Amino acid sequence: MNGLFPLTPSRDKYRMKANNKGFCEECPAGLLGEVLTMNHIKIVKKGNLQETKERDCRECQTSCQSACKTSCTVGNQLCRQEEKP
Amino acid sequence: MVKKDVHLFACRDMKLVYDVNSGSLHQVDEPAAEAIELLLQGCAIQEVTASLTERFSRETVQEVLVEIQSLKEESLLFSAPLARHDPGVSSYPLKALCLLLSQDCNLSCRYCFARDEKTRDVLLMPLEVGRRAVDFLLESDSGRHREIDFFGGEPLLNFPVFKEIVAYAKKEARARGIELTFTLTTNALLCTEEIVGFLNREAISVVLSLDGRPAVHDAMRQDSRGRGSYRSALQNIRRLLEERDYRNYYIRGTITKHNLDFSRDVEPLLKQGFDSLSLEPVVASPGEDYALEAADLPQMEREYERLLDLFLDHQAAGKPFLFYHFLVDLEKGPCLYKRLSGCGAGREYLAVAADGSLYPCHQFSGRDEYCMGSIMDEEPLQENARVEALYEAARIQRECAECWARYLCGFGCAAAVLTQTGGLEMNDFLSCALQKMRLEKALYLQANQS
Repeated sequence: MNGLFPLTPSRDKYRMKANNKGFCEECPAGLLGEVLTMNHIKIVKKGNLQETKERDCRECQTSCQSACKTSCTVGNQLCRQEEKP
Repeated sequence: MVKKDVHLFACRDMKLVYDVNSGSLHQVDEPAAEAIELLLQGCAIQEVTASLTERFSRETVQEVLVEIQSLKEESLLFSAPLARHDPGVSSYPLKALCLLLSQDCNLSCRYCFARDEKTRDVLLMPLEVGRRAVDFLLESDSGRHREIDFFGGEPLLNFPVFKEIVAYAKKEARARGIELTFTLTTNALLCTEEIVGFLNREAISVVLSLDGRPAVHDAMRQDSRGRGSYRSALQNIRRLLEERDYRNYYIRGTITKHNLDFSRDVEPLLKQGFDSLSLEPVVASPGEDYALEAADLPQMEREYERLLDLFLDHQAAGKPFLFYHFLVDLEKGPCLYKRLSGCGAGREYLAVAADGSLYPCHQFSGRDEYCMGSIMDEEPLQENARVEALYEAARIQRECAECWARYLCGFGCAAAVLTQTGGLEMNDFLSCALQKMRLEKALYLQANQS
């Protein structure tokens, strides 16, 4: 395991996490085939910043007006990435 | 692991963790919060385990660490730092223009950043300037979407030209297959039946200036004879919005030293039936009597808390309203490019003054050292090292790089920094503090509603 923590949880106590994906295939604790219930951390939102590094902004409809007039920050603007029908 | 990459904070009954480099948000319980805090302090896993097992069961500690680990492996917590990815000024396509249609105004608002513009030689934008600006925007190689914002002064003082520009821009955009959207920022005092009909017929979004309580509004938003404008503005705004079914608008108020209890300005707006609101902290030189200062932050924090209460109460009562600073889209928000391009001023967005001069944004109009050319010239856009410096300022390089909110704030407003600090070398502490304050509440709402 190349993880951060050298964990060795006992098999009967830990269930591998579902994390909105249903069944987890890669258990960081080496518990393949089990499901971890997240008892202590609830994922509220999965951000996708890591996946947006190379996006072509030519089709993006994010407002490019300066932030203050509509009282929004860049991060607060809703990016309507889907094409309109 | 450093604090700039993971922001652990408490808001009301929740402990929340914002993972900066992925944009993910998690709600955590006490042992998880403590573990994350220790990791952020640089503790080794053995130290974390030892510390936590003093207060929590060994089983709990193990669970917490497995959960943290699993999130890390999914790049949802302690995710890898994003490399700064700035393609440079020339790579940002122009997508939006602000047309300062009229640099004259029928009001003399005390806090207006453009109040000195009334002395310019050209106060009303000639049609030819507007048409050249439209051509310039549509000729930009920037895809299918463009925006034009009509601003002032009071843009409706130049209504005949406004109408002509909209008609011309629509015709040209249609011919080029470009989707063009319009916004108008107005005090609404000139909204006659004809103008209301035009705005609604042409689907022009509106930002309407109204400060909430009548006394607050009238103390700042006065005509040249010192008379308040609240009653007329409210009457016209209601008529305008009723005829568009309260869609595509923002009521925009301003927070100054004189209305630090600004949640009280939201209440009357809600009672009037307005449900799309924004309140902006005033941009003012430190010497102005209405300027905000660091000492006001505690009260402002309490007011944002009250606003959060109002928000939740209205939501629970089935009467939700929209408050712009409480909006944040973590899953479909802007891409990294956009976040690193700041607010867009001088890059994707330019302002055209009434005489055709180009500026990074409307707030720079009149600051000649930031002029970027003229729309009337054969080559309208000229390089201006000062504009490029807006994004190279030490504040962005240094302070922002260490801030957890760096992918959510667009590096703040350079014009505000200039006004409030006199330079670009440092950040405007107050604006940053307010931004982070609001963001924490916006993130809390995400968790509260999930």
